[in-house]
Amino acid sequence: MEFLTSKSDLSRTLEMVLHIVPPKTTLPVLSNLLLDVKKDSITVISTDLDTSVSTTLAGEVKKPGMVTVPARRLGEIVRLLPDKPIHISLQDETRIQIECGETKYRIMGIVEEEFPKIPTVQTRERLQLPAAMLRRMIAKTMFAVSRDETRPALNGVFWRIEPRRMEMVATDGYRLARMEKTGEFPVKGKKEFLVSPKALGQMINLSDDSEEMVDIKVDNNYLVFSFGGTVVYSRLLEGPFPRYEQVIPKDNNKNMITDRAAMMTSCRRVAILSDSLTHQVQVSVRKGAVVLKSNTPDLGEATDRLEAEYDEDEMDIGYNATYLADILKNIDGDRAKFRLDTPIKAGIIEPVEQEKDEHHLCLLMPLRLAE
Amino acid sequence: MSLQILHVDFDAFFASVEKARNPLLRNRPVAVGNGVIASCCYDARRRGLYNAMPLSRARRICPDLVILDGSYPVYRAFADQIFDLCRAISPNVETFLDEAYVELTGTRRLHGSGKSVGRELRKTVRAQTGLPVTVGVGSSRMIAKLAGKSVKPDGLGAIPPGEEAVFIGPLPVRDLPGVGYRYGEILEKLQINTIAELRAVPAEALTRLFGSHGEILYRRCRGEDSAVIEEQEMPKSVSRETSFHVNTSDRREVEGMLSYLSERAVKTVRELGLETRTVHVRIRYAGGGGESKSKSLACPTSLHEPVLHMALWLLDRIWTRREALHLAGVSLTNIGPPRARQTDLYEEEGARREESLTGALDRVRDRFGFGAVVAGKSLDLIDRLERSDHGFVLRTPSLTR
Repeated sequence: MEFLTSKSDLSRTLEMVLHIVPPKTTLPVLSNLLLDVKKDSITVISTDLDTSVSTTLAGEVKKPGMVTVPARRLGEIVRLLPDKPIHISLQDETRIQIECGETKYRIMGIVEEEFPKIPTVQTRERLQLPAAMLRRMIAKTMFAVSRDETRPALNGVFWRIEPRRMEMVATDGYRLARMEKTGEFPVKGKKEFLVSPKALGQMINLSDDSEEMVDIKVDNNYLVFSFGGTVVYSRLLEGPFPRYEQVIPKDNNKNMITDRAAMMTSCRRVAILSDSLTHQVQVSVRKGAVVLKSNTPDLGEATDRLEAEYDEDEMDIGYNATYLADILKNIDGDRAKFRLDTPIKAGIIEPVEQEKDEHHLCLLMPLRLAE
Repeated sequence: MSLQILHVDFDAFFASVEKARNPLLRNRPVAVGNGVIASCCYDARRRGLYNAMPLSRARRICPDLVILDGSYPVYRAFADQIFDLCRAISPNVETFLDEAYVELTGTRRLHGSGKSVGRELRKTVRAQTGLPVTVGVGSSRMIAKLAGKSVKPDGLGAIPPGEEAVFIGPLPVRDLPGVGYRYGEILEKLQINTIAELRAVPAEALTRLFGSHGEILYRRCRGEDSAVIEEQEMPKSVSRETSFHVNTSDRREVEGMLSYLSERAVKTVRELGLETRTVHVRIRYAGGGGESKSKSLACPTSLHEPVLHMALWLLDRIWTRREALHLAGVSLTNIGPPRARQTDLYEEEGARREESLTGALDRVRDRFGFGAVVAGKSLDLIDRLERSDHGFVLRTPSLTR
């Protein structure tokens, strides 16, 4: 194996694949990158067994071959190399030589046979979607994914594709974010799967907002995104994802509309004096206004008030300020609409103005005061 | 008005209770415990025994040692009697398993000096329960406790206001509350052996050594302590553990036991009107060695279901060897007063049902004993363990609850 490349190309490629390399692992080869050099292409692959990223590297192939190299070590080396052509070659089975100007390294790799096989997806069906649309749907839902390992079914984004409709949903039990999109989607019947946020995060990081199309392949076990020269492979999570449709309230008809950014700031302001564990703020909806309040013994109290359109029964609701501010940050537009029912029922929060073909909805469960 | 606090320490509590109940034990070395010494009397301590010593070793050192299993309800009854005597002096009493703090501030005209109150209290406790207690009097919790410690057992120590710093100066640095084993080791390496020597260390140096805890030590070594007396009993942790009658690798038995132990632990937390946030699970293998792991819940709780769910999740992660277990235990920490509860989109209905079911079970158990109802995974223990009104008969009965 032998090839020539440039510092800038190699740095860019490493930046794309290094995120996946697990910081600690019991399987040493996972700390390495696979260099797969074919006659006309150089591919760099990293994996943590659940998610893998493979991307092409621009360069001139002298001799095909394969080997794995220590990922972070290679990253450090390349970062400090001079801006000159880099010549990488395999000396014997696992010893890799890196030459750049007057600098020379020899590092030990691991034979490529030990590197996990990248899964192949058994399907003929291929789906193409615009990168920008996917990125948007992911960004609008992923923040609500649960990080609680004891609730594995909530650790992913639920993705459903139908011929006329597509949606992504994430929930951690306390809040939920759903993005629906209508249009024409090239699938037969209904497809549903649960994707890890790590893979989706890679998809967002590695693609850009150009109108480039993303190629999606999925079977029962794996999901594969391909775009540009990059491929993200992800093992699907095991559900079952909760039956979220049942918890979205249908008769929340007390509507409160307020300035989204102002409400978010106000929420953060008041949260400074909220309980460190529950982050409780009291949201009091009044005719024409909303008042946010926190009151923690031994700490102090804070209030803030902003104008709002509201003409229904006044009520006081307890929310976790972090969750509330998070939702307000992740919805679009200048104004946010709260669709409420009672102080102990889920509240719906959504942007007032939505694109014609999409619907973004967030749910937030209140805090119940200790008796 | 300066504070005045009385610290009441029950000397060798479990062993003293056993001696009070059975005069034949009076001059014999007595230890209470199972596997290790939970409490031993001063006769036994003079022979070189100490708490937490394995009983096998204790028997070798002291062949005539009387070893008793002990019984929590009996100890609790004795403790409650002493706590009531404390509450007759002042309404502000903070109780623990075998000690209590009584706030005397503002009772001087009523009761006289702290020292005379202490003398009286020791006399009444001895007369009504037969137990020896040590009483310390001082201007803070810390001083009161240290005053008592200096005259243990069966003594009375009082530090007049203004003499705190002089009194604690010569004491070993490890006696200072908040120093403990680890910090004590660090300080002794630095040749700081007494509390007076600790005073010579500048505040910045202590902060560099121990972080924010350094500031607390800086004040404490000068005899200043601002901790107040809280009437509510706020345990640091509530633990339940037992060895199995026969080592077991039967998953259902182990899960059943964890369910039973966690149900008992969480009931204790609930009875105190508190909630727990962190669950710890501990196992020991039959062949020796063990594992433990803990994790915090997303929301504090006083219900069994979330605690059990977490305990079983932890068990899955620590029981990795294919080997039988000798012991299993659950402990709950991060205990505090109830806070606002984050409601859940999917489990709200269930949580509310569990709340009312728990209330109903508690009422039945308070009337007929914990063993009156066996529920959930604990049902798997029915054919495996004997049962009484108090619950299953465990190999290692709990002495603290």
